[in-house]
Amino acid sequence: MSEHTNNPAVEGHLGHEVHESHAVHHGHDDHAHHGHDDHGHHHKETFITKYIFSQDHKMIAKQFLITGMFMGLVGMMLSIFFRLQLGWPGQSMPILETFLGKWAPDGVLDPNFYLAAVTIHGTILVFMVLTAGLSGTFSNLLIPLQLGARDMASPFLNMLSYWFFFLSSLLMMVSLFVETGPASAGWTIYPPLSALPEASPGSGLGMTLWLFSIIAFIVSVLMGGLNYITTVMNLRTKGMSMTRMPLTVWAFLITATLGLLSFPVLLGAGLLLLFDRSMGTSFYLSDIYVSGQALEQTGGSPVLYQHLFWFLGHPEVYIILLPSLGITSEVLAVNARKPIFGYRAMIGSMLAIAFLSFIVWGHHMYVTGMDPLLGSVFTFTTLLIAIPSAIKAFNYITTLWKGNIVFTPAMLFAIGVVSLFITGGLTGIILADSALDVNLHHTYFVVAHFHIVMGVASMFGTFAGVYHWFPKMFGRMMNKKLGYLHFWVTLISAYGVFFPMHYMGLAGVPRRYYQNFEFFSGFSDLNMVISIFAIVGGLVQLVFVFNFFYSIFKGPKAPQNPWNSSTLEWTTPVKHLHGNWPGEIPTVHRWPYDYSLPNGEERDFIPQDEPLSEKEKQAEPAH
Amino acid sequence: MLLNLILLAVVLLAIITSARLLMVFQFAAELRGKKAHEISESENNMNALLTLLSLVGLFSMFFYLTAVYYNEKYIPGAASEHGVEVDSLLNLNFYVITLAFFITQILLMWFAYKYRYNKNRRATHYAHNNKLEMIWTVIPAIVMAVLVLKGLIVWNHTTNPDPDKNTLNLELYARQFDWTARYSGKDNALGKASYTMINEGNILGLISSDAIQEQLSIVRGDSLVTDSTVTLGFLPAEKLDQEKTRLRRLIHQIRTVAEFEYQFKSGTESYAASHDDVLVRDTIVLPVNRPVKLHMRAQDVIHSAYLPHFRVHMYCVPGSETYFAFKPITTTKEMKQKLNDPEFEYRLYCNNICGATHFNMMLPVRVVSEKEYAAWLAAKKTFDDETKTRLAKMGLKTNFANNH
Repeated sequence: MSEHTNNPAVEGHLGHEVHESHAVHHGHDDHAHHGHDDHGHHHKETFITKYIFSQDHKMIAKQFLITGMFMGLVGMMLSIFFRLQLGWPGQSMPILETFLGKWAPDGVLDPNFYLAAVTIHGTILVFMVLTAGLSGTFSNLLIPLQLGARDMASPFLNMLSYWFFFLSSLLMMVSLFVETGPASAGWTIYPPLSALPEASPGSGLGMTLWLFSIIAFIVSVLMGGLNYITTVMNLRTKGMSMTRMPLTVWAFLITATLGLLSFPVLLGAGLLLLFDRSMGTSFYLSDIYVSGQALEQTGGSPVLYQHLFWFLGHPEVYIILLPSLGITSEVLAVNARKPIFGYRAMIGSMLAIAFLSFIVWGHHMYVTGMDPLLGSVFTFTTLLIAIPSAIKAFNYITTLWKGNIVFTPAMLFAIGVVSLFITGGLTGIILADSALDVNLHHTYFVVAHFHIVMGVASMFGTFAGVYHWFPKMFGRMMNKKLGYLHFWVTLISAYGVFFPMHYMGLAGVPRRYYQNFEFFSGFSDLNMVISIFAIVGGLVQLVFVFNFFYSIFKGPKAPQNPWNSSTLEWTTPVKHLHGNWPGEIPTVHRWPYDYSLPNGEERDFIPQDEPLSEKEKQAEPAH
Repeated sequence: MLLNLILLAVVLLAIITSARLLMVFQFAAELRGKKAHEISESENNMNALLTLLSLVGLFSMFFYLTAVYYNEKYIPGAASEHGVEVDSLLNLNFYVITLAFFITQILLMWFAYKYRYNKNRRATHYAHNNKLEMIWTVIPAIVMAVLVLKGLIVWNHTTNPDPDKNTLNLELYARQFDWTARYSGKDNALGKASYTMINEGNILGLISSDAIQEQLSIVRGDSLVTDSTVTLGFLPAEKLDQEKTRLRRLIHQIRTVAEFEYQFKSGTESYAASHDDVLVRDTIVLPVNRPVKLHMRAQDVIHSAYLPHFRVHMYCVPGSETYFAFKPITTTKEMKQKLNDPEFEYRLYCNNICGATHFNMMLPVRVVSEKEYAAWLAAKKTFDDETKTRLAKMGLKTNFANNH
């Protein structure tokens, strides 16, 4: 494989760098097909090594982003399919038959496919979009650029990480086309439903593909995570101490750590499920009678699976949310022209949230028959998370206070993240309480809660990141007017879809119901309104996709530092080159948030690589 | 097909047109000397204003939805003893989070509006303030401490109700896709059950001497149907595997049932508690003001017994038994009057995804006076009656019980 030839060259860079953080790199030029002749390797970047099997972190970031966007569109379409059924139950929708064929006979969604759509929507959004699409994109793009590194610690592993993600997405897509339908046991795939093809057609080949897809995904996350952590620990440029790192990098570091510690548990859970499915083991199966036969398996526990799953599942929530909060910190500070308020408290609260996220998984299981005492413990630990979360929310708000706020599309999305984080976070206080969760478990209240705080908030964080760093990724600007349209319609439809769901949940409407009974008929209007908001919200994402691809090719050229930001990524040339900086890697002299210092200068920011002025040296050298 | 092609063409045309338009706008802006990355004052002010307006929108939505949907009609007050406590705890939580919601959203959006960009102003470099941060660490901590404490008290009451000799033992049995309720009968004890005892007549797999006899006759008969190497030899490979699995499972089942037979015949177990159990599959009837302990089991996959009006919810897990105890305090009749809805019914829902018609898995629940309950139950056939009827149909003797 040709990409191997590239590898020593890159390692060569890094080898220099570790020893002398300002290694000089000659031979990089701005031309598209440049080589690494200075290292004595006869290597030309071909289309394949540059765009497909690339080892450049910037290209890999783009690969993650575009794959994530594609998967996001698929996930969104599935949600619109099931929203059509929920808004207008039983009504014939020819569009469903066009897209789904036999899964929507006469334009009415099949109940089995409804569950499949719900399942795959959840899986794609949680894993492919908000884990890989978000973390994969921005960790890859920003960690080396903001830390002053030439590339990731292991570019080859980084490339593999993307290709395992690609394989995972591919398997998930393939599972949509199998005869018995894709996995349909909910994205949490609780056994025995997911273990028994007799119990649900989706638990046949569809579930096998789901499991293999997730296994590939875990491999991808682990390779990516190892790389992110190693890079942050070892490849920071001279002067870039841990407490001078932008909060984005802190967020990515903590996220990668969470992933590294929790995803292997999901791998274990998935493997045991595979054994139960195909080898007759009974980890999760016990005393089951299905399709006229009593299975031999006894002694297993389906609840064991839930413990294992949620041991990943809860940290996963923060794997999704923290990068988005990191991006928000950065975008808020840059566009409010102020330092982020309480930098150290922000790091501390992220660490606290990350730690706590490992000891709260049981709050997903209050009604599984778990010992009530355990329920009390999990209530206590879960409600503790409210404290660091409150610190973050108030610090964001204070960052805006007395700022000089520039409303770029990215800034709007970042403010949206804070609003959604608060709205969704507050209902978490109710769900964390075991006594209250009993009646709300698996209702629309939960759907509302996690979509707002984790789904939409993180999606907004992703959008903020894309609008903010698009000039860095593609050297061009996105159209801001379309950005505004995208933001406002998305914000309105996000709240329009999920806010009313709280009320349905309080009335006891269960989630994952193909249709609601007469008992819930009072909500049929509301269901219709929700579906309309969902469709509008879905359509406006096409504006974003259009803006994105149009701007890659035809957007106005970006200046080097369009947002007057002080972080290192904006010191690299607009035109990408493998190795990031044409000359020496910049040295860092200050923290990343020197905005609007009262120093009498007209300029309201000082880049991180600018040495301290005489005055500053006298006053207080270290931040 | 043609329609789809035309549709595709229209979409493509729309994309190309938008792209062209955008290029024109972009060119025009460039001519006017505007830079793409700079936000003009009017754009900035407009977005600031919209941010402020979105606050109005958010709160209007909150008030409208609360006025219309947060009331007795949609969320009837709890019809169980612990549910009343749960409701008041929920209300307390709602006051707290609504207050926090208002304060934080107002601050956020107001600051965003007020401190919108002004070229004559410079942002205040304000990096941290330990006192402020301490305030918003300590206040949420105190509030959380109160909520945790209150929550745990209610949780304890919910999960550890005062013991009551009068408690009714009732089993909820879930399978794809229906519910069966089992009343414990005169002895108020639920008879033993095993999944290997399940057959078409005995869907809960209850064990009694007659049921053992019935099951043995069924499974032993089953095994003979294709149990010859000649038959197996003619099966295609895939079918052969299925048949092998079926036989393996059957042998396991016969062994287990034979063990029950042995236990019974040797006198170790009488399996008598199930005799007076009553199985109900159309409506659950509960006496008012009497504690009920629900024993939950499932046949095939995880189901979940959800009784929203009673604030009761518990998974039904294959392979183990789960419990939930509560005391209904409002009869169906009273609730109908209270809600002024003659159609009102309490209901039991399945609330854990369990397969295709999960959404349709429910059972009405009726809460009645003790007297009505007793009359209703007395009219029901016991498990023993039902088994004896089935055995008679199969031509088997029902005096198996006397064998030892």
